[in-house]
Amino acid sequence: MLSIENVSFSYAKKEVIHNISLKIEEGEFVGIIGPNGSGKSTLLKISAGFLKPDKGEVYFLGRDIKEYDTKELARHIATLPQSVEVFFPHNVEDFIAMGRYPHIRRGFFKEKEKERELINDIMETMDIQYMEGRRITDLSEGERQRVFLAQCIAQDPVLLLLDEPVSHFDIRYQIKTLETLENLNKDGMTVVIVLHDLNLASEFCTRIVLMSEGKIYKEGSPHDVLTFQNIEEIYRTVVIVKENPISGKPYIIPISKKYL
Amino acid sequence: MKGKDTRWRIRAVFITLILLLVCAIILSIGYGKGMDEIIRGFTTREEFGFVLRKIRIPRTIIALLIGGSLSICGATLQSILRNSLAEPYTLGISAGASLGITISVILGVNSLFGIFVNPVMGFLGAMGSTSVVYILSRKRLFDPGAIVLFGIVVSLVFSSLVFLMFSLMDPDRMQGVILWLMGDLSGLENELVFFYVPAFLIPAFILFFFTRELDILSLGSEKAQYLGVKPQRAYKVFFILTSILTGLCVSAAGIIGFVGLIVPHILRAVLNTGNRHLMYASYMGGASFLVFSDVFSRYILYPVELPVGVVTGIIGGVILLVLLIKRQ
Repeated sequence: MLSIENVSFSYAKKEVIHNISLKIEEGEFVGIIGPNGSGKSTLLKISAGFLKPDKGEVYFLGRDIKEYDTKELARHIATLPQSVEVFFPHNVEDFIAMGRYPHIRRGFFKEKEKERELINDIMETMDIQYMEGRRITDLSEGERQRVFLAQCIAQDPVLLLLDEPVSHFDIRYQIKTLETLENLNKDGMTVVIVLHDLNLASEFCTRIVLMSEGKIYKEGSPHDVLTFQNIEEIYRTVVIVKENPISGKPYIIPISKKYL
Repeated sequence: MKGKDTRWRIRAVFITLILLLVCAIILSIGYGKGMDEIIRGFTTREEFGFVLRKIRIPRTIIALLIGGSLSICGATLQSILRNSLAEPYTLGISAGASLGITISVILGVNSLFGIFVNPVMGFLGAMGSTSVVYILSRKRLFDPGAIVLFGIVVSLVFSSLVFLMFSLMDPDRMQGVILWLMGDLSGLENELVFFYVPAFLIPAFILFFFTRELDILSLGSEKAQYLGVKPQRAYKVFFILTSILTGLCVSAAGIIGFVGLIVPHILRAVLNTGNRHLMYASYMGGASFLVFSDVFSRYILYPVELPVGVVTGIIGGVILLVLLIKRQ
């Protein structure tokens, strides 16, 4: 579905992505992990077509991503960047409805009712109906993040790119949001997600890409990637990796220096 | 439930705005006269009928157009720059337009090529200052704070250039130009109204057409692109449209500050919806505000007439200060 081929990218003179190749297949749930500054967000912005790589190509559905019109691409890929600016007091429904922009042809007022229903359905899936009528500026950070996500889903994308979408959430909403994404994934949406929390990545992702210093250090199933050797090497932190007794997925316990 | 609240709130705001607008128009056209006199003025050839048709109505029309245009320019700029202090005045667009027009007046270009040269020179000047701000802020990836800072600096430089022109100018012609620069609706040439009505309304309707894009751009250029709006191209379109409108406003009545700032600011707080409603509301609100300010400037020290820009500057500035203090 998405194919990144020998891509390099630099901000000013500093190269932050070195010759990366990565293929995302349809139906995958891919987690990108790695320490701060390892190039995760940059890789996501390149995949989303926002940053143009200095070298290499990105193909989406077999076509060079540069050839896509911005609006056309927005009908297929929805991206949630690390920060969305909220400046004006839009109400939540209007805010989510902005996600319909790439689909709506100008002056098609007849579809208004259908669109409203669609937004309602999305609010239901995201469990945010209770926010109806509220201003986005009055919401808490966690609530906003769910509205941003709902806006992405309103784009009806085949590929969803998310940059740390659950960092602001408490554990309940972290799990809830990732479960929602899992359901969307089961319905056919391909998901690529940058995550900081290794245990969440392990639980939810079908494939994990571990990045370090602008390169892919390791990729594969959670079992292959989340070994204590890999994590200690890249994060320079002592960890024990156990197995989650319910899911059978690896889970990571950090060990503080004072016990060593 | 709450969705209904919003709808009622929007309706209430629009009804209030329409009433304000009607009051403003009646007051501006008929100040000091009874309703029957006004109606008679439309039909007879008495003295007041002449004043009505040749002075008061054209002046009211222009005030409506300018007030509305400045407001939607402010709303547009605030959305794309995500900064509630943005408006033609604070971004240096008005200063650029005034430089263009001052050059046109001083070099006598306007007497050479006719009266339509001023709006065109105003547009060119506005484009000039906007381009400077645009190029400077492009390097900072359109960081909203940087844009407004550059705007203020560019505004100061362009205003100084206008004063430089003044100092080189024949003192006899200065009085009129200074009055115009302070924002003055009295020096209007009547026949120009037929040019101004479509010239003001066409760019405004184009802006009304793009309210969805404005909403999306208010989320920042990165998110805007992900939603399908090309930010660079959109910035250019909006800067050109606001420059055209600002050029027209300044050429018709000089620099009128703060209208574009406070009207959208207040309406955004009461409406709590996206730009679709805000733009129409701003047009009506700005139009009423300027007409009221104009009536005020005409009669507060009667028979001395104040430049309306001075009045909006004082009223607008005070309202803005109150809002800013309240928010802290």
